[in-house]
Amino acid sequence: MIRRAIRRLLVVAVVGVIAALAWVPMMVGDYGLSFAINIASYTVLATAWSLFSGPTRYVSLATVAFFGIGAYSSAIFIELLPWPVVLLIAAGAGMLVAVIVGLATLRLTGVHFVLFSFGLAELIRQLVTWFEAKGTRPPGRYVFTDMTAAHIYWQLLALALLVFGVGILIGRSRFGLALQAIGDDETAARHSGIYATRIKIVLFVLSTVFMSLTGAVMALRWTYVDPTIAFNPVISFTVLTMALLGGTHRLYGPLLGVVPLALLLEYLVARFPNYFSIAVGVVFLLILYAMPRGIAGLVDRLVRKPA
Amino acid sequence: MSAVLEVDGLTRRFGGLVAVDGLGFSVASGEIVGLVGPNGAGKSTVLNVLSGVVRPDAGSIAFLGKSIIGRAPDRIARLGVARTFQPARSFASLTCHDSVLTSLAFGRKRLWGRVARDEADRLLDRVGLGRALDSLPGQLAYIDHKRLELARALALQPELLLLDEWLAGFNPAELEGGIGLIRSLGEQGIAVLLVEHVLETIQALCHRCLVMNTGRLIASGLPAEVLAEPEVVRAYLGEEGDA
Repeated sequence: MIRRAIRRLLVVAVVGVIAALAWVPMMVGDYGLSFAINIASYTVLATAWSLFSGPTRYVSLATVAFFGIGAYSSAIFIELLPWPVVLLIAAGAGMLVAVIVGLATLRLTGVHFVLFSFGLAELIRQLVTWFEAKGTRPPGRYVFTDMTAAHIYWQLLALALLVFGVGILIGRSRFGLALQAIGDDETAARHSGIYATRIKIVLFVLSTVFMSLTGAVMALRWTYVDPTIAFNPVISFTVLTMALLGGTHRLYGPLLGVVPLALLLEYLVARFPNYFSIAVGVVFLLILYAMPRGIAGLVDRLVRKPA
Repeated sequence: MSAVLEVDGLTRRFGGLVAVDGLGFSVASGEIVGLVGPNGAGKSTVLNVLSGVVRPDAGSIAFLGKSIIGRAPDRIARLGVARTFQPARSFASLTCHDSVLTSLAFGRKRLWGRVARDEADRLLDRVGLGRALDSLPGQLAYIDHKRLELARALALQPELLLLDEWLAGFNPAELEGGIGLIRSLGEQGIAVLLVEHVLETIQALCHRCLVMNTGRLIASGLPAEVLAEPEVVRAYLGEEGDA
């Protein structure tokens, strides 16, 4: 009885929070909305990253590869096709690359996968640069749209809700269990009947689709993209740091990392723009030493709930 | 008794070393067969080949009449071949209950929901871990790791169970319980192939015994007779052995 009442209260609270978040563009000014867009985009990216990398412990530095593919899909097709079709192209292109990469690399483990994922992002950046140069185009593309900052924010908010919804569904399914088993001991998981490679590829592709869609939406915000912006490796490292700061063993963990780190980075960019990357590195090291399970790990300890 | 596993001419080389050399044997439904031999005889390689970890270089393996050579470990597990490891492997972040759920969810019957949860409880109870449903492997004693691994193997509802020194490290009281448990699995119709070092355990538990040395099968038959054969004694104790 009490449990049911708590659950109802929780549902009401969640709906209330979502409504409040949807109301943000009407409540804050341009700067506030710009910051909200930043938070929303990193929430999608870090949660999507954690969806796959959290349980499997495959540390991916390829976030920006898929983000950039989405951004370039927007830049190329925004003036040619209706927006929903552009989003489908962004998701499809990211998915295609993710399937190929997944088939080729998800048999790798540990540091090999980390290095490959980093190399992949760089490779795609170089390929795009080469392709653009070959077409004798100027290095960048302008992204013209009628959509306002509020439209962009709402789309990112919808993506964030979707990634949480998918995360909840996976967590409750046999695949969530399988991912954790794979992360703990892949050999034992395979001998438990778990088709590990297939599951890893499906989850990897799913998480990268969210990254590509975020890139597609964020390109509208930037209005101009070139390979150094769209495939900037700092995005991958920031997402990784946010996810680890929040904690990857809980679905809400990355969100707990996004908000404080986004605030910190906002402050640093404004006050010490040249030391931004150093700050990300220092935060990363502090997390590894002081909070290996992130903020969500501290929350767990406070409520004494085993992970 | 019908043959669950039929192995013929099985050979596996690692570079110049022939780890398994033309091995042939069968295990029938409900039969408990011991696989013994000195260190380096090739016993673990046999289990690895049967469970799909490594591919044989030659020979055939028929499980329920069908070849399983070239099949991935997860496919072989889903067909009904379960195994344990030495040392036992476990999922550090999953409770005992959830660990067993993985095999139920991806095993032969793909159980999920309440049915699976009830079955996980029952299996943990059967191996003696009914009190530790919500414990993480890190909180378990060494022997309980082995119990958990066996519960996971049984959750696959196997026709063939491969045990790699599952009874090693048990104290006498635990050993008695462990032998009773494996015997009950045989009575249930599961074919059991167990690698074991303690010969008394083999004598107490196994219907038949296979002895390997340097990759070859050097004897097979009733445990009491086989373990007394001069070649087996020599393989275990060396040429001068008189113990």
